[in-house]
Amino acid sequence: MALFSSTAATAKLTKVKPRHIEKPLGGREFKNYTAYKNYLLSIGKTPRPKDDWFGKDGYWQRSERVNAWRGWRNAVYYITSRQNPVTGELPWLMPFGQILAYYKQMYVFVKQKKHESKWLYGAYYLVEDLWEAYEDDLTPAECPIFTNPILLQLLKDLNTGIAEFAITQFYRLLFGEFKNSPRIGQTAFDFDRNFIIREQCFVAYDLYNDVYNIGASGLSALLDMSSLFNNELSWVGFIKSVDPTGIVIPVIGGCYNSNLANPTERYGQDARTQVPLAMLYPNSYFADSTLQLSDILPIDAEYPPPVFTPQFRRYLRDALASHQFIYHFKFDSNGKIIWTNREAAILRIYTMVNKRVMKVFN
Amino acid sequence: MAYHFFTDINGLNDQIADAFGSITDIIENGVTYEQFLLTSKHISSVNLDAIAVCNGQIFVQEQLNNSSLLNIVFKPTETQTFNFPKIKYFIYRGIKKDSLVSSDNLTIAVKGTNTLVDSIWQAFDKFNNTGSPSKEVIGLHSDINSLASTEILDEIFLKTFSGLQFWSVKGGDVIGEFDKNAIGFEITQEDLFYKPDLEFARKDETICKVKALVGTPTDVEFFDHWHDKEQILSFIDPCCFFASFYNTNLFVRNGTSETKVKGEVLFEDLISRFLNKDQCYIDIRNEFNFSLNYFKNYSTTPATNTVIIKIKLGSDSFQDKNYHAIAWPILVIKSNDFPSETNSIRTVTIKLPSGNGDNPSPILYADKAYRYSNDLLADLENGERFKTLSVASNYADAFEFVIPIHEDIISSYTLLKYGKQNTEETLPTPISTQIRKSDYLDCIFPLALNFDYITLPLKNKTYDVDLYLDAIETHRYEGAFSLSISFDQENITLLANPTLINTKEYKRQPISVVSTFKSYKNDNIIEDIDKIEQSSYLSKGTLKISNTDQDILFYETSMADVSGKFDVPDIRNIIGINITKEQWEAILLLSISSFNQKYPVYLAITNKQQLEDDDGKSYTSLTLALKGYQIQGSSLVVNLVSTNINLITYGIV
Repeated sequence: MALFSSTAATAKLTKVKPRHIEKPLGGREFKNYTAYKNYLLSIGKTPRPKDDWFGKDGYWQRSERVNAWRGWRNAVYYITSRQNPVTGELPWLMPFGQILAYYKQMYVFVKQKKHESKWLYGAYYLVEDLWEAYEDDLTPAECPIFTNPILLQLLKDLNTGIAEFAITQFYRLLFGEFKNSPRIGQTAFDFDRNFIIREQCFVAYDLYNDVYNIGASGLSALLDMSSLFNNELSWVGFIKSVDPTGIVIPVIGGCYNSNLANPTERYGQDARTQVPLAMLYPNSYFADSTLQLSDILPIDAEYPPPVFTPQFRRYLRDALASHQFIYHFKFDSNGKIIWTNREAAILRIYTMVNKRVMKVFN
Repeated sequence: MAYHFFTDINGLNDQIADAFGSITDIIENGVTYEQFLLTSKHISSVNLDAIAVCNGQIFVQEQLNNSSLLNIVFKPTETQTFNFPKIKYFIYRGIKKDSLVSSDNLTIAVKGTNTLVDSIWQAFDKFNNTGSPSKEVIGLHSDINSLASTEILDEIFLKTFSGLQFWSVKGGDVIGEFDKNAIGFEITQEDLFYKPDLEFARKDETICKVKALVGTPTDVEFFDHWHDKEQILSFIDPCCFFASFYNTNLFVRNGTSETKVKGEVLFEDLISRFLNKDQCYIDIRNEFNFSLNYFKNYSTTPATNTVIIKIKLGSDSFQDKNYHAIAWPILVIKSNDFPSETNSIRTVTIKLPSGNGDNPSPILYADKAYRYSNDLLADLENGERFKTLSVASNYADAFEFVIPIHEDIISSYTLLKYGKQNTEETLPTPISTQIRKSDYLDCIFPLALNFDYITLPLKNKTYDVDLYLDAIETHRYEGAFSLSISFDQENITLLANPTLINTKEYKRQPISVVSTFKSYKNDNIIEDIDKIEQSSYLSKGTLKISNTDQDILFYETSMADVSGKFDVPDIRNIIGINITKEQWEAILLLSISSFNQKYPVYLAITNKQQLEDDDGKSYTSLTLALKGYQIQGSSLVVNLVSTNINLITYGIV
């Protein structure tokens, strides 16, 4: 929407939310046609005609991406169909905003193909958090992550590295072996699990390794985001923004190695793999049906149960039961749910994960 | 919504005179006036029921010159369900007073008189009232009588008068009885400039009366003459309106029976009764929705306002035809102008002048036109309604459409909008009376959009008149737009809302953002838009310009607009201007002091710049101006006056 406003009129719109405006990102994105044309000519290429550009050659106009117009959709399609950029040319996408927009558009394409892969759910809001924090120009006190150049570079490299790998995976869904075979149910889970394992165990591992070889100070800084993540060690702390009790993480199978600074643990590979899967598939990734989650969760006295109305409790009980959550409620003699801290924690995780997903994708 | 013929045809005489169209000049006080009758007048052998054409509200007024006759202003209330320019009012003239009002001239007629009267009694009795319902309930109201005759009907319908209800009727209801010697029927369409008033509602007929040109008129006299004639474009010949139901059923009452008719039966049984049955209208508008040559930029002979278009009728070859052949700004073709053919359609092909370089990249938007496909007559589909034209020898490419015919009956209405695509070609100097856009944002909003938002409860209004806009340069689309205006406690917002985009990719229709309704809300409309589309929001960001922070509005996209969901409105393509009420009032005052108020005045833009703030964020800045007409001696010129109001928006637009 092109909304012209006078200064005085803008000031009177008091209900409008303040939000940052993204800085120009560069890469294959251009302010206008002239900038695109001049760039292509400078590298000895032929620009497409102005009335037939529309992102068809993997370059696009900034307004196309910001507004998700046709040109951006074409560019996303082009990028994915070619998987890897030609050596010597600009990389496909710049962190964080372009990658975020790519994931957003790719979600649509994936859904149109009827795939049920959830990888984008998690990736999108993780990148969105990064993007918002980066664009908000937080101070070092508020967030040391972006003022540490090694750390910032690591985050950017992770962002682009994972995105480049992700493009190859989306290629499989849109153009490759799964283009006519939607990944649904168990096959969607298998696809995502393989995706995450390769992403975290190989792509991300290499990047962490590079930083470690430069010096542990970067990784230490990554760990020490105490002010951002409630004084918790960063990776664990980050997850605690979803699971404030910290109950879930230690007990999910294979999630024992969570130290990002430790090369022996492959920089917390287990946590980096298991936690996203648990977040994306909370109702199917927990222990199998012979093992009740309540049996393996320790009680945490710090988190009192939430206060819900009776109607809401009934609704939640039914909602959770309908998802075959391998967890059961205990009821008192009056038929009321007996809330324990564990239940509160699980409920909170479930609703927070899904609420964030719902916010983005609905 | 079902549509009905406006009266019972049992007893309706064939129309032999007083049809919609040009009539004899009249001389008053030595001055000659050209006249165009806008009322379709009929005579019948018996008094006939007046029938509601569709669902709507009524407002009744006594005729000025005959207190035993009433007129009904009928306002359709539902969305039009067939392709035709938006109808504003149906006017029923010559209703016998005693069919609605009792002999005491104070109360409603007795029960059983007709459907309208019965519905009023039903409501009256439901609340256990005693006595009889007052005639005030239908509009014969003392408060109305005390209003000036220039009170606009649109605003009357929005106001509240104690005891007056704009009674709702259903299509097909009998709403009165025509006097057999005074049947009159009119149709007005949505128009940005022509606003019928109380005086209009009280006449026995409507005639567009324009002072004739004599000798060598001045520029002002010449322009004024043709400006006044534009009024006829706000009206539709009822003959061609009802003929437009060729593909859609029309209910026709004949005595005690009612039948659905369409196609050739419609023509034979109904349209044949109209005098104008053998003529069709081709209404061509310019990019501002005025008649083709309103600005005189397409004249082939300026002194006589002759505009030669090339037209090919049926299998004939192209001929030159003066668009103003009937001396009014609409083209009329008769059935006997076509060569004789056996099929049930006639092809019309036209080539329009390019104005000697004034319009080197024309585009034609077929607002209302038929095509013929697989032996069927159908409206043009959305993708077919835009045609980009090239120019050769000062004429644009041919555009073809069809009209149905049955024997000599050819009544139809074709509405084409002849627009201008943006071009990089050098244009000739505009004619002194021509308003030309300097940019796609220039002159989108006429000040005529304004209404009395202070006293009326209405806060938002949309004008369903499609205007072509070429925003490809920055927005990557072109299409037909409607305009709306919205007032809240602090600001006013003008919106150009795309109703049809010229691209195959957009299969769904963008939202009709605002529609005419009574709104008591004080929220800004753009904040309301924010709530319509899921997961999107209007935000305020900050630009740093020369080290100074400046707030800017921008709209973030949602998933809905890219997800291909067809049931979610598309907000992306709307163009909006948001200013304070004080700024708007200042603009209105500036317009009054700077321009002749008889002619259109537009919000123009100047000094448009695409800039970057200190952080490299792109934004567009422009200054609002006004473009309108000034009389300078005997000349009329278009001038530009700055409002000094600066606007900015995020991005390059």
